[in-house]
Amino acid sequence: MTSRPVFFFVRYGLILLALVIVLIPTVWMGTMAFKPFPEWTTATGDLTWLPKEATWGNFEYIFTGQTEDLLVTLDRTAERPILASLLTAVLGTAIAVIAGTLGAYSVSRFKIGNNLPLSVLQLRLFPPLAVMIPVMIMWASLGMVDTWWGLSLIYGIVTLPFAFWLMKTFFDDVPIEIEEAALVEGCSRFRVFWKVTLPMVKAALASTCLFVFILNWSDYLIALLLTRKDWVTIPVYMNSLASAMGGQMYGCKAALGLIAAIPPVVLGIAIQKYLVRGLTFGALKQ
Amino acid sequence: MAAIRLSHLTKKFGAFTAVDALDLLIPDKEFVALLGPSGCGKTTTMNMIAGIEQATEGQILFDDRDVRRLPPNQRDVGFVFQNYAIFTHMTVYDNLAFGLSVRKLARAEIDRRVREMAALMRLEDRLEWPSSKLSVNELQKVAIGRSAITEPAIFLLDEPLSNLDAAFRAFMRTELKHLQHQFQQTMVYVTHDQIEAMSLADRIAVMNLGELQQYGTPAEVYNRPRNTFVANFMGSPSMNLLPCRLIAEAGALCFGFGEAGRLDAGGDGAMQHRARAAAGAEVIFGVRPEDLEIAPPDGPGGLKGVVSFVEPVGPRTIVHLKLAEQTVKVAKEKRYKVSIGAAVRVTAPMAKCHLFDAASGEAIGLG
Repeated sequence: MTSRPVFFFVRYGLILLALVIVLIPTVWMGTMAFKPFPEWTTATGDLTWLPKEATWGNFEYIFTGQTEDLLVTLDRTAERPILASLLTAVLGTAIAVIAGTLGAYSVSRFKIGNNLPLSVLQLRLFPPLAVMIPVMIMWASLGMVDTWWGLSLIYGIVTLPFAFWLMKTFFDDVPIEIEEAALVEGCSRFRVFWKVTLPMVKAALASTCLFVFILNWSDYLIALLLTRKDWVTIPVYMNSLASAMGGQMYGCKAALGLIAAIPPVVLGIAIQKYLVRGLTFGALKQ
Repeated sequence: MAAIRLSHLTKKFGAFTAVDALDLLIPDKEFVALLGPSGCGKTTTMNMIAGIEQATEGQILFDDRDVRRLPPNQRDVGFVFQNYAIFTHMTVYDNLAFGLSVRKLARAEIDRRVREMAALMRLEDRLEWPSSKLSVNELQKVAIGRSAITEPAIFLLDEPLSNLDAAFRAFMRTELKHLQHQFQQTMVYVTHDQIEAMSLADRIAVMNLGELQQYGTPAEVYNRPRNTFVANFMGSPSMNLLPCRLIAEAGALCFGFGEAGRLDAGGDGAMQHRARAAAGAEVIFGVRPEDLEIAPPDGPGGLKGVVSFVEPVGPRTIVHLKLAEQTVKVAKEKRYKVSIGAAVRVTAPMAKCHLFDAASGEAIGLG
C-alpha cells in the first residue's frame, strides 16, 4: 500500500463521491416524506432540501385515506400492502433459504447431481418477463393469483438460485475433516449437518437471509403480475399513489418508501454481528 | 480394545489404486505406525479403518466383527486429524464434551470426564475459551483429548505431530506413549517421519505406492530391510545402496566396485551364504553410513575414495566420499576431522551389510 498524499485524496475523494451518489436520493426521500402537498413539486413555489412546514400528513394520509391538505380520498390504505409485503417476503425467503441450504449442502458434500448447480443457475438466466408470462398462466389456472401463498411460493422459487449458490460456496469452504471428525465421534449424518456444519456457516446463513429478503422485499414485477387487490405489495401499491387531480403523490410515496426501508435496515442491524464477523473457519492448520 | 485385521484391503479412486490388497494384523493394544512417503496410501488405509472412506475390496475386522459396511459412528474409533478438525464454533469444553454428549451421557458424568481430560492435557485454564483462539499446540491437545475422551477401542492418529514445533513435538511424542499406556488402546499412527515411527511404535508397517513393503518391529525393519525401498526409507542419513558386481575368484567371493576396488565377502559366513544365493547376479550392496569405517588410503582392502563434502549435523558428522563411479555417506562422531579432497579408504564390516537383487530390489538371503 502506498501512503502518498495524492492517493489518499483520490481514494477518499472517490469514496465520498460514491457516498453522495447513494445518499442524496435517500436524504431527498427522507425529507420529502415530511413535506406538505404544496412543497412536493415546483408547481407552487421553490423546491427546498428541508420541508418549510414539516408535517406528518403524508403518513396520516396513506394510513387513514384522508388528510386536510388533500381533497382526494384514498380507497386503499397502506396497512394491507405492508402486511402483504412482510408476509410474502418472509415466507419466500424461508422457502428459498431452507431449500437452498439443504440443496447446496447435498451438492457440496455428496458427489451427486453434478449438473444441478448450473441448471439452478439457469433459472436466473431467463429474462424475468419471458418467465413471468407462463408463470402468470400457471398461477391463474392453479387459482394462486392474488393469494399470499402463490406470491410467497414464486418468491421462494425465484430467489432459490441465489440462496443455493451463496450457501454452496460457503459449504464448499467448510473443511471435510470437520465433518469426518464429528462422524467418527458418533454423530449421524443429519446431526453432523445440524450440530456442526450449520453452526459453522451461520454467518453465511445470516447474510444469505438478508440478501434474499431484500430481493423479495423490493420485487415489483412479480407482484404487479400476480396480485390484483387483496395481496398487493408495497411497491405495487406505491405506484397506485397517484390521482387524476393531484398527479403523482410524491410526499406519500416518500413516506411509504421510508416505511419500506425499515425492515431491511432492522434486519441488517440485527444480524450485523454475523455480517461483520464474516467467515472464520480457523482451527485448521493446513 | 480390539485387534484390527485387514485382509486384501483395496481402495481404488477411478483407475488409480491407492491401496493395493493390503494384509495387516494389528494386535490388540499395540501401537502400530503406518510409515511411508506421501501418496503411499497410508492415510487412505487409516480412513478405511475409520469408515470415512469405503473400501473397494477386502475385509476390515475389529476382533471378529466385520466393520467394513458400518458407518464411522458405529465403529467406536477415535480419530485425530492432521489438521485437527476442531469445531471452531464451540468452546474447548464443548469440543471435549462432544463425543460424550452425542452418546447422551449424564451431564455430571460428562463434566467429570471433561475436567479429567483437561487436567491430563493441561488445558484446565482454557476450558471456556472459544477454540478459534487457541494456539496450534493447544489445538492439537484438544484434538487428542476430544478423541480420547470417549475411550474408543481403537485410536487412529493421522500425522498428528507434523505441524507442531520441534520442542512440543518431542513432548507430545512422550505424552502419546503415556496415553496409550494409560488407556490400553490399539493405536494406529500414520506418519512419514521414520524417527517418529521408530520411537513410538511397537510395529511399523512400511508402505509405498499402495503396497505394504515390510511389517515388523522397529528393530526388524531397521536391521533387516526386506527391500531397497525400506532400506532407503529407514534411517537418516539413509543407507548407502551401491550397485556392484559379484566376483568369484579362487573359491572366495568379493564385490567389485569398478575402479574403486573390491570388498572381500571374507570370512563372514552369513554374507558368504547370501552372496552364493545371488549366484552371479547383478546386486546392490547396502550398508548404513554409521557402519562404514574410514581408514588411511594405503592399507589393504576396502574402496578408494576422495572426501567430497563434510556435513556436520549436530551429534554426528556426515562425510561424503566420491568413489570411482559412486558416492557414499559415512557417519562419524561429531569431532571427526577430515579435509575435503583427502584420499581415503573405506571398509565395511560384512556382518552389517545387506544385499539386494538389482532387478527386483528384494533382499537376498533374508529368510
